[in-house]
Amino acid sequence: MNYTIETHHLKKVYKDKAAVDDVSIHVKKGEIYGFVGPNGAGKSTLMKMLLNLVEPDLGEIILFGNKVTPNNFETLKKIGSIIENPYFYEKLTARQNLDLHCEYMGYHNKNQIGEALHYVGLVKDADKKVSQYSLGMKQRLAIARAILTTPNLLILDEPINALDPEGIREMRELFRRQSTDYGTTIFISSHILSEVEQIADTIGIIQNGKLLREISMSDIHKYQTDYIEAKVDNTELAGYVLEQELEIHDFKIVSDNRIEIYDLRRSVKEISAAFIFNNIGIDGIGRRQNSLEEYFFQMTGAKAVDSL
Amino acid sequence: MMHLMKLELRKVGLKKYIMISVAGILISMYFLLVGLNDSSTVRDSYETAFTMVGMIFCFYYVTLFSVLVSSYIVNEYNHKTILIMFSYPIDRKKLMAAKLLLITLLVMVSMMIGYICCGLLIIMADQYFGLIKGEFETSVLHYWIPTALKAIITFCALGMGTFVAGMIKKSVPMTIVSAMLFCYIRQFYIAGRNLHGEDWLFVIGVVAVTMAGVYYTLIHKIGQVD
Repeated sequence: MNYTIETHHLKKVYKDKAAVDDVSIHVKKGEIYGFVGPNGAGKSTLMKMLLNLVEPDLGEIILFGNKVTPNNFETLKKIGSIIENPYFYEKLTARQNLDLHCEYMGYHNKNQIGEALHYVGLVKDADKKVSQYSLGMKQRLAIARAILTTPNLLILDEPINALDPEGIREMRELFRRQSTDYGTTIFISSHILSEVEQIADTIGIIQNGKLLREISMSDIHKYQTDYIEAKVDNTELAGYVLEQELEIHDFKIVSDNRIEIYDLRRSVKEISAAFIFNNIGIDGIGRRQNSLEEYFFQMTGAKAVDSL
Repeated sequence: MMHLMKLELRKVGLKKYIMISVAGILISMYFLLVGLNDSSTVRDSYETAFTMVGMIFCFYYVTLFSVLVSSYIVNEYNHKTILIMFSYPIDRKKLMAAKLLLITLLVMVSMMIGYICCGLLIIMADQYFGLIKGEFETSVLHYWIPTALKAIITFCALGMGTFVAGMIKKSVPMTIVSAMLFCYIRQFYIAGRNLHGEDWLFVIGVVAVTMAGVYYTLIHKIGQVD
């Protein structure tokens, strides 16, 4: 398999606490890999290790087929990144910051600067000092800097933080274009699961430093079960009707007024007719599908962690 | 290396540094003049007048060096811009060495100009106001030039020492305080040995200790960003 990123049993301990613990990830060339997990799960630490900013205590990292060593900086030429927050030299303008970036990266096609600024919608503000930028603008500028040299790999730590919904949509399109037009591999972390769901080909779920699961989105879709959600005024009676009259046993009373029915042999129409016939008030009923969010919470729930 | 130094200079700019540097030289000249004009003490000779320049410059330039170290290096860690620097395909030791060399070069040039200005001030103070004991002769330069050279090397080495101290905890206060401490050590040494300036033993000692510290810092300290 042609992987852009591979890690083997990576471990990093800070003050007796494992920030990253035995993590082995596999990011295929050209794919978008969503790295999700709660705050403090170890996402940023792992990304820093990939960028040679933090040295692992154990394990190895292989980027583009080559093992990362503490003094191997040449690989960084192929990587664009955002780590933690969008940091800049605030007294310089956006254009000057990008120009410096090109110089340090040894990238001489300065025409790309205008193009990158155009992609992120900052052409008009290019000659403003970064100190005058809002956090959202800085985030856009950080994305521009990351893509500026058309890298083979983008490592993006929470890149859509502080962006408005329009900005999120635009950046999602931009990342997709980078992936499809240039074959860029994108390793992206985010806690906005609906976003990751829309963009990622594969996701890795990390919690308490441990990688819980690495799974392709197509496999997740198989897990995403359909069910019928009914909001009723008497869940006890509704449960009785489902069992006794409709012979449905695979359901769950989720709250005082909500039932989830997983046995789909009966249609919504039939179920609602049975409820009405038994004088059960219905506030709403319809088919639903589990989202990545629900899958994520299943995985990161206490049981999931214990089972590892 | 030159290219990296130029890039550093683009980041920090020269204007502010030149202003601070000029102001520092003018203030030093003012203190020097006040010292020379102090009627309560014995009139200075050309030798002792130059010792006063060394003392003023030690405090000013070692502190200035530490301020530049704080602003160009330590703050890169505090403001996390070092994460950008270290994402470039360049050896990090080289990046840091370029910063340190740039600071050394800036301080060195300013010190040279400062010594020339203060030297001229001493000569003029004698010519027009007779504040110095004895006459100015070119032989005075045979004493002044090596003294200034030793001082410049020592102050730059002490300045680099503030980099070593500051990088222990990546702390601005520690960088600045260490500058004060190093100045006092220098004064104690000179006063203790009854010298008018650094002797070569002190210069070589300071340079050797500093180089060892800088080497250790470049190898063990700069890569720690978390």
